[in-house]
Amino acid sequence: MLEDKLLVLKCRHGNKDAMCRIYEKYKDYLLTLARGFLGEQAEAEDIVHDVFVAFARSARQFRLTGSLKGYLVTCVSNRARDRIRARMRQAEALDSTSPFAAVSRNPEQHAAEVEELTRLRRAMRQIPYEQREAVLLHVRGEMRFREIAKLQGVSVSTVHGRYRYGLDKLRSLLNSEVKQ
Amino acid sequence: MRPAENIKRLIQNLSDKTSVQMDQRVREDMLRALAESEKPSVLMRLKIGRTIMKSPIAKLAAAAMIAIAIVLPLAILNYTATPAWAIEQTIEAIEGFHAIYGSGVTVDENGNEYEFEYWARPRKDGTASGDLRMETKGGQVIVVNEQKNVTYKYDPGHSTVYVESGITFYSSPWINGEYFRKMKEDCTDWHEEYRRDELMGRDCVFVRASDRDPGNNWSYVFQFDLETKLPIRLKVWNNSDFKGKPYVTADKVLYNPELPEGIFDFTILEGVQVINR
Repeated sequence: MLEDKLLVLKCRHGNKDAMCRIYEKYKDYLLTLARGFLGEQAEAEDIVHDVFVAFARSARQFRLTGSLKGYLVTCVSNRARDRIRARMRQAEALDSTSPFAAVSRNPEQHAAEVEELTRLRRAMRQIPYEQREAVLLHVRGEMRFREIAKLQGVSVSTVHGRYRYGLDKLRSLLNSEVKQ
Repeated sequence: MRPAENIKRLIQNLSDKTSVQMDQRVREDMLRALAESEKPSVLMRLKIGRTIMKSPIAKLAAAAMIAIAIVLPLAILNYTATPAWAIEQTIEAIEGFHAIYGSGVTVDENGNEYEFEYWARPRKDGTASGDLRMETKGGQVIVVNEQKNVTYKYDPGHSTVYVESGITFYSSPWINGEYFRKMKEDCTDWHEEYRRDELMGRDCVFVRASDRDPGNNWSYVFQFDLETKLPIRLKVWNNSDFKGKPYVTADKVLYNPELPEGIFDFTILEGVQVINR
């Protein structure tokens, strides 16, 4: 937390190393979330790119009130939501060509995990975006329900509901796949 | 039935890595945006200039510019003939500051250069720095906490933190009014040059001075902002002839900078060797 505050302070003075350090620190985490929200690697990369460029542009005036990680997650989440809205407007179909990268220890396990994560990804696309966002932000983003509520502009109980329904739906979708 | 915990674990396993191409693209665009973020002040000035020109009174003023253009060289001459600054103004302006930030380069006795950033507050008696944090580009960190009466020195090369009792690293004397009063008294050579720092867009006075007191040989170039009267850049040599690399070059000096909470605390990371001394 202190390290982040120092990094932000250095960025305000135009320190390039500090800016790169922030990118290195959060790039994979944000990319994982963005890809979780959108499914598409290229779109997720664009979002992370845009978030960091916008942050750099405003770094000299930037004042950190909460956590930097939380701020960046909020930026990614907002941009992902904009993309989803744009997609819905264009009625574009989602395609799925590549699975999530998996943390694996050997080839057999890797294959199994890739398979499992591919199923998860497919299932996640079938649940409403708000539920997907709540599940991802809480489980993978380690955000509190209170923080997610603030981000989504709804009450904490609504977020609880979205999370619970999202998880239940995922469970039911994944189990039905297994049965088939 | 697949339990919810399994699904949570599965989600926690999601881990995407950025590609080399993406890293390159983001770094380039991000650093360009950071560099360009310094420019808006100039653009803003231009914009203000244009807005003013649109008003009728500005058009009248524009006509008067022709007359001003003739008078201006005289004004510049007058400006250079009468100093717009005196060290007493700096002494007055610098009193009361409770924190300072500086960044630049310092040189050790072997001539090795270290880019640094520095935050400090004066000791209670105001004679030297108390709380202090200095970080070099190479990762060395020095933290002094006056209240805890402890100094931490982190050496990343040996992954070691030296924890020293007391304040064993400090800037002395503290840059305050007394510092400049003494500097003016002790320096035998003192030259002032008034010119505009085009890079910063500020009118400045550059003071070149040297102290030839036996056993106390220093030379200095201080750049004072004519508007705030405060030093904004400095170079200090530990000889009286401006020879060799400056001992300290501060490219940026800020007063009362924002100090994040805990900046004068030091967290010892796991796996780092700790030596108390």
